[in-house]
Amino acid sequence: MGVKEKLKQVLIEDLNLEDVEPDEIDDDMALFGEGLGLDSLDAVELVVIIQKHFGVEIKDMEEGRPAFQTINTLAKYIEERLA
Amino acid sequence: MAEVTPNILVVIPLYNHAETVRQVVEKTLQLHKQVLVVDDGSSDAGATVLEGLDVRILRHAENRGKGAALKTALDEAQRLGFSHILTIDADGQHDPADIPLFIAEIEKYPTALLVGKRDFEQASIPGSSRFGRQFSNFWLRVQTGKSLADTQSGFRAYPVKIIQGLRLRETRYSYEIEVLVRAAWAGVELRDIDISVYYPPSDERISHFRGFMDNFRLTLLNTKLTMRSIAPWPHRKLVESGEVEQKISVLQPLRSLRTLLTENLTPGQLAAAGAVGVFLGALPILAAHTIVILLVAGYFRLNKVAAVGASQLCMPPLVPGLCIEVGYFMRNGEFLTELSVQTLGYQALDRLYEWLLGSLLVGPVLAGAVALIIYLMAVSIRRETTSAAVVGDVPSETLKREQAWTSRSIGASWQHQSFYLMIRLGGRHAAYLLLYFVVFYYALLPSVRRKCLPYLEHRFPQAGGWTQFVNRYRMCLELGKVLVDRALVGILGPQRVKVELLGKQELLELLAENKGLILVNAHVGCWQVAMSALGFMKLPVNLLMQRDAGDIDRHYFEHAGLECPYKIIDPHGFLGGALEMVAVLKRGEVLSVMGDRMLGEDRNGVAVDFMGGQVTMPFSAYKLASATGAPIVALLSYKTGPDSYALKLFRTIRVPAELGRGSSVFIPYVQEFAETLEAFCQENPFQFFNFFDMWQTSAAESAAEHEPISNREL
Repeated sequence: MGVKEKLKQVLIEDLNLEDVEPDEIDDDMALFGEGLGLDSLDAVELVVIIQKHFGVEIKDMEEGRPAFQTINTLAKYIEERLA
Repeated sequence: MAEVTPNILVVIPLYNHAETVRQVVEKTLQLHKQVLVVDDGSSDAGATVLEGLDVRILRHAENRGKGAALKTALDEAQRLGFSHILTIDADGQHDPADIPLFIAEIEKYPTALLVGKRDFEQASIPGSSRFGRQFSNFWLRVQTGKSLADTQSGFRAYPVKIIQGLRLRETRYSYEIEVLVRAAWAGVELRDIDISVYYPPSDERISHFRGFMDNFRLTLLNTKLTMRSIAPWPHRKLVESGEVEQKISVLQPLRSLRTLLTENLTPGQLAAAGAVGVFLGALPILAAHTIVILLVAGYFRLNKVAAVGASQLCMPPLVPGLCIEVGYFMRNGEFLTELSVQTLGYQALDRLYEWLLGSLLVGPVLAGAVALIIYLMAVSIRRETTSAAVVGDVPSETLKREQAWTSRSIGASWQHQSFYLMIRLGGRHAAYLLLYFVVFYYALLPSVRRKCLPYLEHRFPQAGGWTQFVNRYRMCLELGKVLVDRALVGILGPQRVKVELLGKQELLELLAENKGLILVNAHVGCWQVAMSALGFMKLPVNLLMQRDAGDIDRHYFEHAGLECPYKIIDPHGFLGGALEMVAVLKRGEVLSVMGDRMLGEDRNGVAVDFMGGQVTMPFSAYKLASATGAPIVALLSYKTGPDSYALKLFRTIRVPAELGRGSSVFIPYVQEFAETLEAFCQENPFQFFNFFDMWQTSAAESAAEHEPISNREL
C-alpha cells in the first residue's frame, strides 16, 4: 500500500470520518476547511496520527504548514522523511 | 416661521429735540414711509416742527420717560398691524441711511431683537459713554449670558408681538436695558448690527439722561434683574429655542450630564463649568456660594446648572474641613487635631483665614479633578450616544459582543494616557488616588454595570442594589489597580512589583518530564505582571493571543519599549495556530492559553458547570494535552497587596492520550478547570475580570454560532 492510500485509510479510521470512503478523498482535495472539512483539532490529531503510523514527527511549523494542505503534499512530506 | 414680509414702523421717540427731529424725520421719510413720532411731553416746540410731513404723531400730555414712549409706540404698532418697530433717536446721532441695513436683517431674523452697534473708535464719542456702554454690556452678560456690543444704543428693531409679550416695568432709559435682559430670558435672539454714528460736538449736544437719577434707576434695575437671573425658577420662553430644562442633580451625575450634553454643550464646556463651580465652592464665601457661582458662570457663559451642581461637592463638612486642615498645615506645619470650643469657636477667625488659605490650594486641585471626571464621563456618554447612532443596520447584538471585549469600551486612549502621566508624575499612589474617584463614576455607567452584572450576579446572588454597586465599585477598582500596576511595571521597572510563585517545585517537576507544559490561565488578577515570575524556567513561553491593531492599552513591555518576551501564536493563523502549538509542546516549551473563554475562530467549546450555571469553555488545550502528553496546570494570578502579586499553581490536570474525536470526552477535564476557577473566585471575588456574559448560552453548539468575539488580553 502506498503512502497516499494508507494516509486516507488512517484518516478515516482515526478521525472517525463517517460516510467517507478512501477513494472519495481526492489527492488534491483541501484537507481543512472547504474540501474534506477537517478543523484545527483534527490537525492536532493528524500530527499524532502521522507519528503513530509513519513514525514521522512534525516539529517545525515552517515544514508543517505547506505539508498540511492536501493528501499529495502530506504524502510527499512523509515520503521525504522516510527516505 | 413662515416667510412673511416684515411690516415695519419707524418710531422716533421725541423729548425736547425740536431742533434736530425734523431733519431726522425728513431723512427717514426718504427711505421709509411708515413713521411714528411719539412726543413724550416735550416742553419745547416738540412735534409741532414736523408740520407738513407725512408722519403719525402721538403725544404724551406730560413727560413719562423713553420707556413709556416706546411702550406707546409698540401699542400703536400692534394696533395698526405692524410686525416690527425700528427706533431711532431724535437727537440726530443715528443716521437714517442705516435703515435698509435693519430691514435686510429683520427679513433674515424676524424674531430677533436687533441693536445698532455704534462704532466707538470714532473720536467724537465721549469717554463717559464708552465706560457706560462697557458697564451695561457687562451686566447684560452676567444676567443673561448673552452678549451685545452696544447695549445702550437706541437704534433698534423690536419684533412687536414678542416684545408685547414681555412684562416690562421700567419707563425711563432703563427700559432699554430691561427689554434686552427680559427678551434674552424669553429666548429672543439678540443681534448686533454695525451702524454709523454721529456725536455732535458737546456744546451742540442735548442729552436728557439725568446723571444721578437715571444711574440710580439703572442700579436698582440691575440689582433686580441680577437677583432674578440667579433665581432657580425658569424664565417663561416666548421663542422656542429647543432647550430643555430638566432636573440636574449631583446625585444623578450621569443623567444630569446626559441632559446637559443634549443642550449642545461640549464635554470641555461642561468640565470648565464644573471646575469653576468646585473652585468657587471651596472658597470660604459664607452663604454666598451659589450667587457668586451663578454670577461668574453667567459672565463666562458657562453652564450655570453644571457649575452649581458640581459645587455641591464642596458641601460641608468634608471640603471646608479639608481646606481648614490644609490651611492650618500651611500656617503651622501640622494638622489641626483638637476640635473644641477653643479652636473652632474663639479662634473662628483664624480658622476662616486658614479655610481661605487652604481653599486656594485645595480648590484648584479639586476643580481639576472634577473637570477631568466630568470630561471623562461626558466623553464616554457622548461616545455611547454616537456609536449607537453609527451602528445603524449592523446587528447590534453582534456588535455589542464584539465591543465587550475590546479595551476601547473600557476607556479611550487619552484616558489611559492620563493614568500613565499620573504614574510618571506621582507614582503608584497618585495613580491609585485618581482611580478611587474615577472608578466611582465608572461604576455608575450603565455600560460598566452591564458588563459586571453577569459575574457579580452569579458570585453574589443575594446582593441587593446597594451591595451590588459596592461590589461593582470594588471590582472596577481592582481592575483599575491592575491596569495601573501593569503600566507601572513598564514605566518604572519590574522591581516595583513583587511576585510570589506558589507551587514552584511542582512546576519544576512537570517541566522535567520534557513533554512541554500547558498553562491554562484566566482573566483574573494580573497575569502579565505575574508572568515575570516564570523567568526561572529558562524556556520559551508561547502565548496564544490575538492583537488588534487598534488596541489602546499596552502590554507592560511596550511601555518600556522592550521587545516582547514571549512568542505570540495567532489564533487567526493557519489552522488556528494548532500546528504551531503542537510544535511548541513537542519542543518541550511552555504554551500559555486562556481557559475561561472562547478565542478567535475557535469553535471548540464544551459546556461545563460554573458558579451555578453552565458556561462554554474552550477544550483545545485539553486536546493538545491529550495529543502530546503535556501536563496542564491551572496557573492563576492575584494581587495580594499594594505592590505584590501571587502566581499560584492551583491544580495540575492530566489528560490521557487517545481520547478520540469529539468534544464530550474532554468535559471532565475542562470541568476540573472550571472548579478551580470557581475556587479562585471564592478567595478573590473582585479579581475576576472576564467581563463577558459567560452564562448566556448553555450548549456548546449554540456557543459556536455566537462567538464573533475577539480576544482581549488583560
